[in-house]
Amino acid sequence: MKNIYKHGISMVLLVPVGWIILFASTVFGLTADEIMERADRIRNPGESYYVLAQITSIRPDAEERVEQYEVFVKGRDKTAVRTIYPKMQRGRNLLMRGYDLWFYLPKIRKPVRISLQQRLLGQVSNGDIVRADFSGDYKASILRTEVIDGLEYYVLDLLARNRRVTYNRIWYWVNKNNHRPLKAEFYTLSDKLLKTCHFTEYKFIAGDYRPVKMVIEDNLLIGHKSILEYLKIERRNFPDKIFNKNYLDKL
Amino acid sequence: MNAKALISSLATILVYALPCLAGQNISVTGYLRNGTDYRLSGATGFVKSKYSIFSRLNTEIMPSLDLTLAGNFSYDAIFGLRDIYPSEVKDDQEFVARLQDSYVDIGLSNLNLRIGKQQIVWGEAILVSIADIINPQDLREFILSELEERRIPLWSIDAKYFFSNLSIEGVWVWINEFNKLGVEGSEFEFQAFENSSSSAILVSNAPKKPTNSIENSELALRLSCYVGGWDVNFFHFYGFNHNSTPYRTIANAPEPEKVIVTVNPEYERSEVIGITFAKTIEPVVIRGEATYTFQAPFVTSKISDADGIVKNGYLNCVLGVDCPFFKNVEAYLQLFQDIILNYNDGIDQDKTRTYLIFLLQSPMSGRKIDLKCEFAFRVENNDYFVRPQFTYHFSDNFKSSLGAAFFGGSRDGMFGEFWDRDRVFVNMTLSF
Repeated sequence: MKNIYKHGISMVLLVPVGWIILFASTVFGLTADEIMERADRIRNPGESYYVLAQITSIRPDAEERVEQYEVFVKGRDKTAVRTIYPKMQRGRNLLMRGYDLWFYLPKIRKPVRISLQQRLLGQVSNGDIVRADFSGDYKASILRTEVIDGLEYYVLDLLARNRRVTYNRIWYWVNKNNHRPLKAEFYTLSDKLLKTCHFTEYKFIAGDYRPVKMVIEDNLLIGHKSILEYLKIERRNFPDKIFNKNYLDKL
Repeated sequence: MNAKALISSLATILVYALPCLAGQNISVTGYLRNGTDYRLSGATGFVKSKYSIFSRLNTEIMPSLDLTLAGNFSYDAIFGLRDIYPSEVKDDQEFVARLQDSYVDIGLSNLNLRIGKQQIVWGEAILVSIADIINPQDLREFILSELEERRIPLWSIDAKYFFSNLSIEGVWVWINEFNKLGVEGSEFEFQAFENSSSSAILVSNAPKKPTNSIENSELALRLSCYVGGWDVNFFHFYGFNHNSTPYRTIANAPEPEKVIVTVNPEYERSEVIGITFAKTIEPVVIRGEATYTFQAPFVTSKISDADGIVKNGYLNCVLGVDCPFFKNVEAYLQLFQDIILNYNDGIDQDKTRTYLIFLLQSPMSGRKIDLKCEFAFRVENNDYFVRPQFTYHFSDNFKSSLGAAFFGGSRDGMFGEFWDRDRVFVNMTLSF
């Protein structure tokens, strides 16, 4: 009887606490980390998914370069990338587990461990492809709100949780109503603006409206930019074996 | 061309012909290459003008069943242009056709089977890998040819079972192949059995090869783990030594004060255990490999030894560091050491050999120019090899390299042996 009484008290206490939390989050809004997470879920469907990505690199002094990759994501820390195009680069597959990276070199037939520094190539680094989520890697805070084209945006300040991520700091513009990202600015350790990314062309894919085109401008090299396009996004489950470095040659 | 080469040629032609016959679901990649070498030391002049074609075809026959066929064919025009090599070398190297990696991949849940002619690569090290012990190598161009052309694929079954952070791999090789060495008089002919006395008549017999049978097949097992950011692999190989063991007998010759030294080389069983590891400690990657060979054969100069061979434990280890520096330069540094255990003075090979191996290169950043320099140096006797190389990418699929290779140091050293084979080279490669 005493136990039932105690249990009843707990229930009585819990119900209002739940309502208070719900009320508070509605009235006072989401935390910066929650906003960042919601924006992440708009950029990709989360947990386990497949992306067919195309990267077009534009440089004033060179011909346009097109690359295509298939990206297999499982959870926050397992990503495998298969090179589709150019045809000659096929087989050069990439695996990321946590912050560890392997690159399969078909010429020598082996997966080679590489450092995070070695992954930075072009305006779109391998880091951008293998690690699309900001949450987990960055701690967010709300800098301010801004009105752009009549719409209100949070400006989030994302600070790297450790030194192993691609960028030290990111400023992230997220729509206040629907949490769709508008743009992001990427900064170096010395707070120098490295790249600016614009999230454009929202389409209804895999259960939500998602940006399928990201235009990434290099702020250090004038005229250098990359366009990252998601040609396909699907929720899919993958067996663990494809995230094993010894499977990279069969990916 | 012998019958084996003819069969390989036909298989190679088939590899090229299939894309024309088949449908759309086929990927064909490869390259056309010309490699021209000009020797700078010894007898100077052009020593190679080799045209090669390599093609690899891959298709999915059905879900979880893939087919790969690859072959290469080369023709060295130098044999028609200059008369500098004996006819045996011409027969051996003018036309070369080989069926390369040709296998089926079968995926069964967490098990993957690869059946056919294949390369099994277990090393972690970038430059010199001592853990790549399963495939023999074609050393007719010493270490100057690309690794993909040098490694000889083997008819085998490779079974891998995957767990989340672990994989177990078993290999069964049912047709043995051995290192392919340059014949007598070739550009990179290795030193023959050393005859230390002018009073000896040397008779060298052809190496005795094991017959292909179940009893003579090779087995290998590997356990790979990924723990706390470390890649660690343990392996065991029960196969054949890829080099023959030069057993010798000594008998009195009919001429007075002379002896007949008969060399009877034999390919023998070899048992090796090993470990490899790799770990990233930003911004560097460290890699290591160690192998222990049970009863490895070594040549002894002791006349009293009945067959001229002693067998000892043999330890090999490699420790390497990859270090990117500045923005566009990568450096790979490796320390290689081998140690003969229970060493005795009669053994020809030194008890310990230590090499420093260094590679400096611009990264694959899509730039037009790549610079690369390899350097290997033996600490004990200055045996060395240097290969600087400049590559210009005319387009995504056409590149040309200009480089040089220098060998020096002790005349009986791994590189010093080829002290008069320094060269400049030009390679042009068109990929498709």
